[in-house]
Amino acid sequence: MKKPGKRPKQRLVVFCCENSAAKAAESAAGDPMLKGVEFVRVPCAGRVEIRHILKRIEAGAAVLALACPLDNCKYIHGNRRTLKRVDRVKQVLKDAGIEEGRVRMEFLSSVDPHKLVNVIKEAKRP
Amino acid sequence: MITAERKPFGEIADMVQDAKKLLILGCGSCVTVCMAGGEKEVAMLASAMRLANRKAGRKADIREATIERQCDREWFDKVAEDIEWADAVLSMACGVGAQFCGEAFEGKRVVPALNTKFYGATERQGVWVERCAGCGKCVLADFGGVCPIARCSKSLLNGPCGGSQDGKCEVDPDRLDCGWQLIHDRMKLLGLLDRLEAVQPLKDWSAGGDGGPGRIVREDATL
Amino acid sequence: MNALKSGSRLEQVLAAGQFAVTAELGPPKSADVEVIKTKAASLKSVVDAVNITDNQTAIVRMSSIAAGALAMKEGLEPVIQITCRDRNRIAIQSDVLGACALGLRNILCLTGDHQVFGNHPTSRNVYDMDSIQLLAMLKGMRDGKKFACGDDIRNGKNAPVVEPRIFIGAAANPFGDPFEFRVVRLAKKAAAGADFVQTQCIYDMERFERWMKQVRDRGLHEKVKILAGVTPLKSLGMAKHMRDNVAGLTVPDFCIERLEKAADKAAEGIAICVEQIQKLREIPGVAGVHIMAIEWEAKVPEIVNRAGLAPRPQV
Repeated sequence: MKKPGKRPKQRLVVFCCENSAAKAAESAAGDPMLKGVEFVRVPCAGRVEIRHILKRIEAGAAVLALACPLDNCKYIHGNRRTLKRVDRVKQVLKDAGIEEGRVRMEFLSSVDPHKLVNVIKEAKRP
Repeated sequence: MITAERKPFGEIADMVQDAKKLLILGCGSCVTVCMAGGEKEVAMLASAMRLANRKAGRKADIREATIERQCDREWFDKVAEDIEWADAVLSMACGVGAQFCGEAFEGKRVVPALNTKFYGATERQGVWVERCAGCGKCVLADFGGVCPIARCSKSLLNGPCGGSQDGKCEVDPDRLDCGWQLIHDRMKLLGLLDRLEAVQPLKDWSAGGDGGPGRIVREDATL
Repeated sequence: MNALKSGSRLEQVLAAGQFAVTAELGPPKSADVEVIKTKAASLKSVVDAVNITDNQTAIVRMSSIAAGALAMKEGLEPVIQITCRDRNRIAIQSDVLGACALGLRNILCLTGDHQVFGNHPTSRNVYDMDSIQLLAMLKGMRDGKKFACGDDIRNGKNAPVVEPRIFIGAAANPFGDPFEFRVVRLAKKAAAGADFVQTQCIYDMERFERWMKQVRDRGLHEKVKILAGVTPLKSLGMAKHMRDNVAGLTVPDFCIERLEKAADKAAEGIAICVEQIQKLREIPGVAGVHIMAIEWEAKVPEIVNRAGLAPRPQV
């Protein structure tokens, strides 16, 4: 049971492309900012579907999708597809009257754990 | 395939606002291919409705299911129990499937989540285009395999109107090719241009939609 | 000379080999008869016949047959335009009988502008047939004395056959694409039953002459009377609008330049139009001119006079 008066912390689910963000997350392991964050490794950001994101949001989480930099996707268009899907999710949230910021997307490379920490910090902000 | 697009969320929400038990029923055929009403679309719409209900403080149970086709009675068996359970069924099939669902479960309120558009093909990923008007009496052989009824904005059978410019139709030059430019080019390619000089007589529209609701009977398949 | 199809004045002028002059009268966007009277007063005795447009650009106006009957009372000879956009074969044949009964003798067959351009873009179109099928249907009514379904045009088994005696017209657009099919369209219209055609308004004389060459090569000018269309440019804005926004229409740069330089744009527009008519008269196979002075009917007498086409022959 939640304690009355105290806002529950929103859980953060981060979908990580294993070619970039997942590696960055390994480098950043131990950073306190990563505490409590659920990482979901995916072979490519393009594997993340609209329904995967929505299920997590329905369960009360915020979602961050992390993909390789644009034009640098191992599967060519995977990250662009996800970008468009995230836009679609934002539309669904808008339709439902929910804050669009519950889903975010960022692009980063495997050697950029600083950015990873920063975008997670941003995403954790209510 | 029969193509469709999902209705705006607000319109759907209004249709089913008083359903306490709602089944969102997808269709696994045409509308799955054109990404309007398959399993993924069902999941997306169900999430949106649950989120919206929660936000608005409305209580409603939502179930999701997708069957192979909603235009064949046998596939409904699998979800008969869910349909019985529901106050309303939100069908994510084309207009045929949505109606047929209502016929299969008389007394059940079935409402459409999709706007059915046309008989189309996948031009490229995410883009579907009309190719057939279902006139009931195919004329493709006379026009090099390009349908003047479906692809000319005025369904002209004897050549392009004055609104054909640079291969585009004046009705929407950014989006529409002139069907007659396509016919002309194809017939030229086939060496059959002279056939377009014949005056096409009045068409018998009664073979299609103008003959009243259609019916096909295949005698050897009936019992 | 006595084998006239309709006996209309336009038919007689053309049959006599006279250079015909027709104009256009757009019916009012209301039930206001005065509009027709005013426009008719400018055109009376100035031209041989006047087209009464049928909800042109898909904007609702008084019906072409009603406006035509009113214009006839004012002393004009109407050419009733009929488009395929709004009526099916049942309605059109009915209208043709009605028009004929009212004494209207010229009918022009058009496909019709698509409804998206008009003031009821959400309406449903008909297009039961196209303009060429319409021509064939009307010729079948007149010459075959039968309806499209094959029935005789008579009120009963023992009643007399009373077919519509009409002079049948069509439009031709030499400027649409595909260009090489344009002359085929005319050939089909001639074969289907057109007695005369009026062309889309011509500014690009070079392209028109190329088209006319194709027309003569096929001998079409001997099968169907060709009236070349002109539209006087009222202003620089209109010229640019025609150039940029009207599909199947090209306005050459020199027209634009002349209007730019002119102090009195309207007078220059008239002058260009008069010169065009004079040039068109020189082209072999051109049997007349069709002056479409859009909401500028009052200027038609001046154009006809200055082009040396007045007075009109008495028939």
